[in-house]
Amino acid sequence: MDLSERNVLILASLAGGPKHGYALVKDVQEFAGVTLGPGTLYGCLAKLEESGLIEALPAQDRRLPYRITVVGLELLQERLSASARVAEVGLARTREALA
Amino acid sequence: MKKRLALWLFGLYRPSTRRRYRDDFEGLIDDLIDSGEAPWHLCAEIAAAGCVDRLHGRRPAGIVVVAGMLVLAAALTLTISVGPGPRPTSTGSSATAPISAQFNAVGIPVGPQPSAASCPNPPALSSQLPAGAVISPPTLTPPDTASLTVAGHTYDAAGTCQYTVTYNSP
Repeated sequence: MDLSERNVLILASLAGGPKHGYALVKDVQEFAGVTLGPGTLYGCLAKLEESGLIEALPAQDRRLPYRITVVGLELLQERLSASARVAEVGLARTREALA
Repeated sequence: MKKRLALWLFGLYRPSTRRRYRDDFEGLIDDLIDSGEAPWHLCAEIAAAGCVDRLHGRRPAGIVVVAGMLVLAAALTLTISVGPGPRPTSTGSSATAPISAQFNAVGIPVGPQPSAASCPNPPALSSQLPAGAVISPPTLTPPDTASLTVAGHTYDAAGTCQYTVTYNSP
């Protein structure tokens, strides 16, 4: 599955532990400065759950906590490692260019 | 944002998504309203995301709704832009460029089409083609070559009508 940036943010948030919708929105807002609207959130959650990257836990007061699966963790790690490589090369080159 | 309106807009999602997440969605809307973080523009965001969710369902009836709702969402947010297409390329004595780079096509159906036959041929244009320019028959936009941004969300324009204008050198 090709992970969009928003899906990466959601998976990265859930990598820190299971969360329900509102907690997820607040966490992403805090660590990435991105505000996920409810529409976007449920579109992403549906796709991630259909792909087996996250799973819902039993509801607590109508709210479903979501948990990242092992497959989700592996895919997230792969995607973030690729991004880190790009960032490393890009930063090294910009440093050289600015020096 | 009114909770009732948010729940009504949630009806734009696929039935399977609605059944699965309705209670949870309602819980999130309650949380957002309680914390004062539910501005009106979230309605447009829900509508747009619901349309995208429908598109993933690939149901013809859904696509008709999506086409209309994308326009509504765009009108609500007043922020709509078309992403860059492929850069013009030169081949031999002619150069080609995507039609969106030079002209506005008028009356093109919105959203992904079942086939190129659904696209007008030729399309109506907002301005006349220069002498010698030729417009191609319609094709469907391949994935990852163009995008549409509505309410800060970017959607792949794959499957929408695409035309190419060829400028022949004198």
